[in-house]
Amino acid sequence: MKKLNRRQFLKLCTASAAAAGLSQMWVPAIAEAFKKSVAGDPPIIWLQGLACNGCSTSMINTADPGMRELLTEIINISFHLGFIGMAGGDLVDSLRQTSAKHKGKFILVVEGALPKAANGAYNVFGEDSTGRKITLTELLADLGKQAKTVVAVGSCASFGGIAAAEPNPAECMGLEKFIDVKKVLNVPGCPPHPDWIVGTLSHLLLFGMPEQDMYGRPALFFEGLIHNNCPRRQYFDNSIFAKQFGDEGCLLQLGCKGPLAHGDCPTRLWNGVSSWCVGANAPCIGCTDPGFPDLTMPFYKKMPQIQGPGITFTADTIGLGLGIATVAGLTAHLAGNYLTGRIGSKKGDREEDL
Amino acid sequence: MAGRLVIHPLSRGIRPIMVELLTEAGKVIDVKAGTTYYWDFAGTLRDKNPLDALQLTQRTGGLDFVAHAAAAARALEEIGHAKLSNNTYLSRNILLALDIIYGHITHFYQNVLPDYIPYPQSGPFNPAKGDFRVSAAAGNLMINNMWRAFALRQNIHRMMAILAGKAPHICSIVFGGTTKHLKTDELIKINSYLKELNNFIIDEYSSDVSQIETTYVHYFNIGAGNGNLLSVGEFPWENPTNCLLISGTNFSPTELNKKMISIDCSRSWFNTDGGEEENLASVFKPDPDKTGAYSWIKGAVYDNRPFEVGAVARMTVAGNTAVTGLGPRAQSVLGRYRARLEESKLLVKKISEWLEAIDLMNNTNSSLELPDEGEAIGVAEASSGAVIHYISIKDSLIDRYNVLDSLSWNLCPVTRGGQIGPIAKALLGLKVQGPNVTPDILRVARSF
Repeated sequence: MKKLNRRQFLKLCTASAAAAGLSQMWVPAIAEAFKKSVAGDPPIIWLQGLACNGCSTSMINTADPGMRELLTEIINISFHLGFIGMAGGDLVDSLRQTSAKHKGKFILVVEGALPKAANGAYNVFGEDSTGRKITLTELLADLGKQAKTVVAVGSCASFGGIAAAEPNPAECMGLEKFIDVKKVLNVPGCPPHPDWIVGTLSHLLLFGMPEQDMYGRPALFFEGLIHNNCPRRQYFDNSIFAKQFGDEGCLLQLGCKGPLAHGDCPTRLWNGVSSWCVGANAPCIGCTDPGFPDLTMPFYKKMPQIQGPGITFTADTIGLGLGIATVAGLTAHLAGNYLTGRIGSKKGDREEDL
Repeated sequence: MAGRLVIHPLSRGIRPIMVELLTEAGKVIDVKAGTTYYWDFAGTLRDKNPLDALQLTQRTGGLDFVAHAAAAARALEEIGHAKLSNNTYLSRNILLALDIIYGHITHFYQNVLPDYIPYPQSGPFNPAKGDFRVSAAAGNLMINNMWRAFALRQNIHRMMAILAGKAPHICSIVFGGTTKHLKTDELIKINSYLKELNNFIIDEYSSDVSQIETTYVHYFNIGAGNGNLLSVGEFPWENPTNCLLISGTNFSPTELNKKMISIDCSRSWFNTDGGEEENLASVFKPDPDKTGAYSWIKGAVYDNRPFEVGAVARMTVAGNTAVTGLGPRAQSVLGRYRARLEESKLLVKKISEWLEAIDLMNNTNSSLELPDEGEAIGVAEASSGAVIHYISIKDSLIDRYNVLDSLSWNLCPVTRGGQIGPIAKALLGLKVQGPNVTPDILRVARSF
């Protein structure tokens, strides 16, 4: 098969193509490029911060490619606490050695948030063989500098997520507030879809940084608003609203955050194209949004200030016009992103004709 | 000569843990076992809508999330005296059973088996040199089954997604019911995945566990916990306490008294407000500088004692003869694998029956009406053990919330009364050789 270029790869990662299985489409074409990666060049180091490890569980749900194909033919995840055989000081030493050896080349994946309070005492990663305790913040300060790219997997690593939900005594934050923002790619979701993780890592291995939106998310997976692509959009347009759990209809009155959250869930679907939240008559909880969960709770109550159908606005403006409390919150988030340098920096040209 | 042996982090578990052993004369004489990362939502849940707990608390663990959704819903339903439909019982039981089987397969093939056979050199497995006794041919078959286990886990989550939107972290469990009404084509799909899962459990999973048992039979005599077993009961039918796997302890066949469940944070990095008494209703504040503390686990106690939870406890309390027939050997490294397998065999059959019992034509929707005052304890069983949710509601908002899960029980820090938790007890007395981490230590710690 002829070599795939970046544009073709992106097309094959879109939700409509992915329904046929990511791997059938692109693995044969780019197997060569992945060979180096499987041989450990560059290695992928996967660390867990304050997290429930649901992101790892979601990654393991990768359908096409499945785990066997992923780990043996596509990506070498050389370090992951859920799999690795070593334990204790040997493990900590080996992690340090791997990162030093591949300085400037390896990809660091982090699942979970970083606790800054009390000098990082809310997450002690382990002890090295000399008996020195190492906090996660200390470890990530080093690894973040050494890594070529840092992928924040999940909403906690991206924006703080549930780990950073108020009152946040551990002062949890996303990676981009801690590591050079130009290096950080956000793949949010609680958890993120396995295709988002696998597709992003594959893009990094093959072509480098993908194009990102203003929150540092790969545009390919996150540029669409859930509400705009929702199969129940017709119900919204015709004012047919579900009143009770189990009803058919638009789920806005039951708290759906689809008009706020970005992602391709409505077309990609979850768990091997089986279903998705709205498919089970349950509202979207906005888990890919930078404001999740503080600004998307209460999950099962209608968002304030959401206008009914018939009023002409683009759905994207709904996200920024949610009512006073939410706008204040979003403004804080935007300010946060200005501070990290995320907004305002040019992220490269858009892929016009996807 | 006394020595200190620290394994931190201990990888390949439900979550990474810290184990600190004091050794003397070739034996472990003291154990501290805990976690060194803060993970607690009690503060976030305060003043929130009670329904938010259904979603937030699932994030306690990327395995066992169904049990958290169920425990949260059950607590609300107890306060609101909600009457559940048959279909709700069935759909929740199927989801809970699938989650338990998922956890068992994950435990055996991802956490346990690499301690007994050399896994592939490439990729994340990075096998330690080890005490490998299974023949190369048999080992290769098991590695093949390990890869199949990944595919089957994915299928288990497909079944969950059909019933509950997506996995991990499901969407269908709500106060008083379920959002999803199953359709015929979906039922057929689930049945097809289930058939494959059933075959894997009775063929590959069964023979792999047996192979490890015959090759490493001495592990039936290693790794006993503290001898206390507890199950909160699971798979109710018609009312919340009429359970397929009954609740209780190995000392008392009578139903568990939920009010005797409490929290002991004397050695955890938590304090109560103004030093008030520690119980399920207490407000705990994190304190990483607390003197004498060594773990972020809130200890769970019943009748002021730590208890081992999980498949061994459930199967023993429920009187499953394959497990009770092992006698005291059930509480061992191998006994824990066996109990998880026997439970998987039992539940995969039950799921078929429950699917058949679902009435596709008779669904009831559930409303959003919640009680505005009250308190309750919601319980559920997850793969690795009992999940406890305490909630109190004031003015329609959550006032207090505490979550306990299997690690709260099995990794319970030393209690106020000086009792040690099941994992620590299992490590106590193990033989060690100098400053090295032995296979026994890893196998015992990973057996829970």
